[in-house]
Amino acid sequence: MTIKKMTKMAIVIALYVVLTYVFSFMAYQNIQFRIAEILVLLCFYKKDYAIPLIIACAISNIPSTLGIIDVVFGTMGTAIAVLGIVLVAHFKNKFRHAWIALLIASMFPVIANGFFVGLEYSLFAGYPFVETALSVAFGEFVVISFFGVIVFTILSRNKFFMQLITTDLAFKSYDGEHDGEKQ
Amino acid sequence: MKNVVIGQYIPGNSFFYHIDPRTKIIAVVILMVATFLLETIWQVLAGFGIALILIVAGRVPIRKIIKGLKPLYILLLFTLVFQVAFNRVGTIVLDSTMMISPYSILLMIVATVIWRLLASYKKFSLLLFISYLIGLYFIMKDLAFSPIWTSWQLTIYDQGLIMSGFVIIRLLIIITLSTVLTLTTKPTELTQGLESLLRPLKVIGLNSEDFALIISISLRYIPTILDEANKIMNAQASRGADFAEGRLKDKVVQVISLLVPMFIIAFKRSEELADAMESRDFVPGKPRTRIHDLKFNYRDLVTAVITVLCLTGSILVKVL
Repeated sequence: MTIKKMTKMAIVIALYVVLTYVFSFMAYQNIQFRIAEILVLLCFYKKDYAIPLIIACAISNIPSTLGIIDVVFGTMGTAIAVLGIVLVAHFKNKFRHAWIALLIASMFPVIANGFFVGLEYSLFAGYPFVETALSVAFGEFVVISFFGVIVFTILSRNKFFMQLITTDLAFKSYDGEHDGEKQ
Repeated sequence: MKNVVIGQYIPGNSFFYHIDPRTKIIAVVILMVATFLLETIWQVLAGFGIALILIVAGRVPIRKIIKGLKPLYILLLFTLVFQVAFNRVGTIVLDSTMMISPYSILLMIVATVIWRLLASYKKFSLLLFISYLIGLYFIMKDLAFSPIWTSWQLTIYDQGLIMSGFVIIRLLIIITLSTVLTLTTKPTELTQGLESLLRPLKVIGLNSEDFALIISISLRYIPTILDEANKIMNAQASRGADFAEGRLKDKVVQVISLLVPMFIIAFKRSEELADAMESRDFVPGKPRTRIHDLKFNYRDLVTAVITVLCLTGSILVKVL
């Protein structure tokens, strides 16, 4: 493990927690739009981000209303989601457009989180499983499959950013003025 | 924004603060398992009593726990409604015909308006909501005069009420337990404890020291990135963006205009940090020392004994 890898993993965790915190008014409960979930799509570009994302989900679930239960179930959902995304990313060259692969990958967090959070709320709070799962899945769909795919399609045009997230080696120094397009 | 607390740690000096974080984590997990072994409402009530005694004895700020439970009441209310509506076991407690007529619809609208007008008194919002529901019940039951358009039957079974009480109290116990853990343990201690507990996973290739370093860096960088997010939001606001209002389309554009620069800035920072660490000759994977080492003391023994007693108790109750 190189230092660059470690600091990037750490930053992904921090980003996830901050985004959950900034938009915390809609990040918890059974009807949730957790903007931070966009970050799971990072695994699509580099599979090293899988573990930090799982940890980040666990950390940001601590202040949730269901507490440790949410840490366990929400984290399981995210774990399965990132595994699915890594799987799709493995075959991403088979797709004609990158965003189609991204969209298919984004289905995994939708389904996994819907299932696990739905299960959690039906087991511990007595909610009906199907309705809760559907409402969580809907929130995830809006955030990841809609917002996330747009954000990452924009970001993937920025070559500098893509180099930044996919390489662990220092390849050039930067002073903040160089943009991906200008190279 | 500088003094953000992730988790809900409150500084203090009572019994729970001096227990080793490893003991606390394991004890909370075991106590949760013990709670899930309980089967009747009397057992969970007893469990709740024990939890309360422990909190009072440990001098944990109870007001903070209650504050943490506040966002729960919507959840608890939903639980109650679902259980009462869908549980069809036991004897009937309440069976009444609900009628809908133009008259009752008018009254319901009036009640809703009154409820919303009074909703500014935030202190009594729960009480107001409950009285609003009761009001709706009596309007439909007694105050609907002809012509009656349609009617339906509201039946409440006693098992529905008991089950909802059971689920609610069990949830309260579990949330109290996890709140006590996060209230009395610093995030750094929590990570240190987790690292120590995950050390056996080295066998399958997970290096818990790297893992702990990653978590400490990210905890250190959370306020920094939050600061950056604030800066970007202010910068966007000075250009006329409004994150709270506006049409849905505008909101989408604004959120994206926050996310893209935030991602780029964060990753640039990680590169800078890596360079700084590298130039100070940090070697990943090398054994590291700490200022504060974790040590067990007599408090951990007491906690372990109480935890095991609780677990044995609930297993005995289940078996006998």
